[in-house]
Amino acid sequence: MTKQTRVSFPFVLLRFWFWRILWLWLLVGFFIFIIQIIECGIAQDNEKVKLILNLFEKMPGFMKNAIGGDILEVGNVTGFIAIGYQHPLVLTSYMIFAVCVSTGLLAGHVQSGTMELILSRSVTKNQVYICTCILTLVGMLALVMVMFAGTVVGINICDFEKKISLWPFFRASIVGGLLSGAAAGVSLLAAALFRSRGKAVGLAMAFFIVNYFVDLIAEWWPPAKFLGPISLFYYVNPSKILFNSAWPIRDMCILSSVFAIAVVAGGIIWHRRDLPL
Amino acid sequence: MATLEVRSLTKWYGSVKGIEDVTFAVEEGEIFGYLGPNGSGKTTTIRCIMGLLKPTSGEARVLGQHVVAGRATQHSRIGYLPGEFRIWRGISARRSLSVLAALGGSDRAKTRREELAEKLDLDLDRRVGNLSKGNRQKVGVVYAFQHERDVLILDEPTIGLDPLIRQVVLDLIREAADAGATVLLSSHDLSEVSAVCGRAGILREGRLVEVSTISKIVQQGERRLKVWFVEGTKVPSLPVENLGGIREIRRKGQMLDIAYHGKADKVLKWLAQFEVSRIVTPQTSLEDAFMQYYSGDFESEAVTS
Repeated sequence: MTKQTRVSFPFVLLRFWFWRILWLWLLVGFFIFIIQIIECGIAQDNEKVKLILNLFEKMPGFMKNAIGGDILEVGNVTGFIAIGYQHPLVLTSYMIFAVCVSTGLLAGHVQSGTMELILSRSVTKNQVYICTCILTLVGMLALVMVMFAGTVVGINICDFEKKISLWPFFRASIVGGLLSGAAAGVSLLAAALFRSRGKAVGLAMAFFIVNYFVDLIAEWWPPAKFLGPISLFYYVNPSKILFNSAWPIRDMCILSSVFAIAVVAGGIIWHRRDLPL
Repeated sequence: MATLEVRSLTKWYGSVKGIEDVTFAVEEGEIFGYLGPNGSGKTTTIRCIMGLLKPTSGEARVLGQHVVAGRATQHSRIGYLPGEFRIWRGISARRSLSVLAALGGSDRAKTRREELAEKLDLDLDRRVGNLSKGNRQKVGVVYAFQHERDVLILDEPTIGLDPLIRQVVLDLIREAADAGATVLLSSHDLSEVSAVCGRAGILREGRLVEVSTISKIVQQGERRLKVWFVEGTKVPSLPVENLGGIREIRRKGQMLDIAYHGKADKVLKWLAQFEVSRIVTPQTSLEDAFMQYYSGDFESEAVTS
């Protein structure tokens, strides 16, 4: 009677979930892609650049920091294009994807009762978590690639006087990808912690908002500078990435560690937790 | 070896007791009823068997294999219907069921699904969100039966179904058992348990107070006698102090409705003193027996047979 049944990886679940989140990925990807092309278009027109920079000069320091900080100056086309990499709307789009996918697939299915059905089939809890990780992380990294592709297309469409090197943008994309990975890890941790999707979304979004503002305040207000390293966004420094040819290895290691710790912690919590009645 | 075994299973939710020291076994091809009111621990037991909950102590074994929480132990051989069946509302029942069937092998699931939908008069092409509660439960029944499984774990399978479909579901359960499947049937509906189950376990406040054959459970319960005394004679009062385990249920005109435990001998001897015109012995139902386990003075001790 005891026939040990081996549980194979649920590619069916992965495919099913992939189709369910694809619309969100396409929406966010399209938005991020278009923003990069728009940024290239704006950066190409010197008059517009001057006008916008004048506008920035009148803005409070923290607002200028939120959009790009010191890299924004006349003639610095690379810096101007890079606004598209740290624009609050772009960052928000990333976070929406990370939070919606991870919490929707874990806490959302628990809340809706469908997780009970999935786990009553030949699927282990760890496999469910791995499927969620794959879709969240691959989705985030693919969005980063879409962002880089947007820059490549934008630079090629717009006729810049000087040749723009793509290498700094590639570096920025990779570091941005690590930031996205860390964000996805934190979202997964939140999704594993709660049985209600609302709570998971709330915790993850609160974490990102606090991190974002801590970084802004630390950059803008010298007495709060010491707070900078506690924010994830501190480790993505545009001027360092765009104008130094070296990779920011230390920052990349920190972001990778945050990602790894959050994903592993989320996995352990998810595995140990009972499915709620 | 039993197909489904539960040994001293205990589950506490923090300081709240779910089940305590639950032990029973279900043999191959048997339909085992699992009875108890809301909150008595039926769903907790089932979820521990399915590995959806980690027991505080004790163990469950399915098809001889120890159930490890979250590891999908023998799930490819189990058909499961949760107590509250909820499925993706935005897609068709057919799509939902085929995804679930594909998660763990589904050789004949497609054909079987169509057969079941026809039997249950269910339109699989409608979005689940547009289905009535009863039709959603039918989707649940199809989900549990679409694979030909060795074990069926059904938590309130007929809830929300009309009497005709309920009968179809009971027939499906019988057919599955006849084909060799072991069935654990949790239900509130005692008539359906007595209709299909050979044995049953009764849960009370998380403890199993009885595990026995349905006929034995019924026999252990109170028996009834309805006695009509001759017109014009006085209907006597019951000598409760002399006849232990006897009580009056109702008195109407010349009729006295009596419930008693054990043998009828003493009651009949007492009745022989009077002029009796008619005696009726209504059949004790599982409901009557079940109600006694909840009458308050029942000893909470597991009885196994």
